[in-house]
Amino acid sequence: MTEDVLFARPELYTSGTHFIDCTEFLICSSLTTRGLPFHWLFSDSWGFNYRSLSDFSALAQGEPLPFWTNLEKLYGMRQTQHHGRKLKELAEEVILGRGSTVMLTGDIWHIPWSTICHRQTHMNHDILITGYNPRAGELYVVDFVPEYAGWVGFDVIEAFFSGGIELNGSTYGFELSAPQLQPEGEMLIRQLSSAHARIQNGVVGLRRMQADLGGQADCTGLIDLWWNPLKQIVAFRESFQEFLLFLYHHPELRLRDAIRENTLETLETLTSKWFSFRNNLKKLQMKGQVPVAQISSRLAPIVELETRVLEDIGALLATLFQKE
Amino acid sequence: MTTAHACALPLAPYFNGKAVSWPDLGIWGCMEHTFTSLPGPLLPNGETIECAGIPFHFPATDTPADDHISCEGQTLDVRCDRPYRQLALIGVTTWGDYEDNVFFTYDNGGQTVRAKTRLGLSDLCKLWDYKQLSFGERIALRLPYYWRGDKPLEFPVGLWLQTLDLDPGALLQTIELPDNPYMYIFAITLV
Repeated sequence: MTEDVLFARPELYTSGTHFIDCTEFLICSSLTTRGLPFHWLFSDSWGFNYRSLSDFSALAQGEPLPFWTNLEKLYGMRQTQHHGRKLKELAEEVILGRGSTVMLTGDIWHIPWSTICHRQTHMNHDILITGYNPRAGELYVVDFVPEYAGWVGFDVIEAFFSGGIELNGSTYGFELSAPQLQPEGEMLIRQLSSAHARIQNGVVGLRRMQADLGGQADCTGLIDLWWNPLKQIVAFRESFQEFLLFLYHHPELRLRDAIRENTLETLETLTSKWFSFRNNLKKLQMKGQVPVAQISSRLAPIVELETRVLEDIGALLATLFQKE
Repeated sequence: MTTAHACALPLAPYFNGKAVSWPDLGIWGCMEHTFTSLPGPLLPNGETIECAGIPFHFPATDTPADDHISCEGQTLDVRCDRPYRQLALIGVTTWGDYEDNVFFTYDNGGQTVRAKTRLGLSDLCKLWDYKQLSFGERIALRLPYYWRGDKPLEFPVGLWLQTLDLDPGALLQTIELPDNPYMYIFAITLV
């Protein structure tokens, strides 16, 4: 592929951008560019896996992110990993040879359109290469965080790509096979059932957490352990909300009547409550003490809302089973 | 929109956080757990400013006194004696973009009416990586750096102007803010 291809920014129904990172933006864009909806990637994004007060996370230990599982399972997109390869080889083999695109991981330090990180911060970043012009010595680059699309000198991308060796021990890139989305009607019940099971598991975990909190005097020391897992926990709920909005607006699935009017509002409130929980506990920790009563009183409405989402998705599934 | 009757709300009684630093005066703000604060010499200081044609009273920041509202579900008692069409605010968030509920109560012909709306505010650093703010806000004030503890981080940040529609046929009585302390409000004007 030597021509620049329009990789449009994926349109989200929700306003936030927490739940989607630079790589996911590019994959969603690749799907949009091929005329496919990307939202099924979020169709069972949920999780709260509780082991103890000092050990919980969004997913079970070692469990892959639903986004990547769904990419292969629902879209049939397989990854071809390119470890330790040179940029020129990849550009010739993937872009010119196969007419495909390649995702490159590298050091954002070398990315001139990142006005903040360029020559200031060493950090992994992913970009998508969609075109190669060997005569001009340029590659066509797509990036969404920060947003950029255009031809860039080969040397710039070479520096970015080989900068990854310092960060990761090797250059790294990957290629995705062409997507083939399964019929949406067939996926719907399966994916919602998967989401339902995850929500149910989460509610069980939250109730155990509530019970365990009862035996604690002070949780100030736990807040640092909770800070990062809570970020992913909220991000999953935001991305599932995005999926439900997609279903709600889907022109062919006709689910507008099946999705309870207040389910979307419940999800919206739930996301806010989780953010409130995370930030309030951190603020209390700053003040020196996080009383258990404060945690419990903030957790209770979350458990209630999660239970309501569980019931709503259960009701939606029941309606869908009836229709079948 | 005319701002002839604009009403800048006196927020000082609700201030519960110190956001703005004046290192030369030995004054350090601390918005959250990473000790983020804003550079006082580059911000308005106890003065009326205009953003998008709307006048705001920006708090005085060159004293150790609190200078903003960190949202913790406070109820602002405003008791308006005339209707307004919009609530405009200067605010920002840290550690993410947030959208949360704000509740208004109105006096509507002697009846108390409660109404919910959503307030969305983007992160202080939103424009580092994204071309737009997340919730349709406009840029109220731009700053070329901010403080992380006593270290200046020379990355562009800003405070955002957000507007919420009000019931133009009723008298606003109270504003119940979200319960998210990483949402910050510096000024509110009713127009």
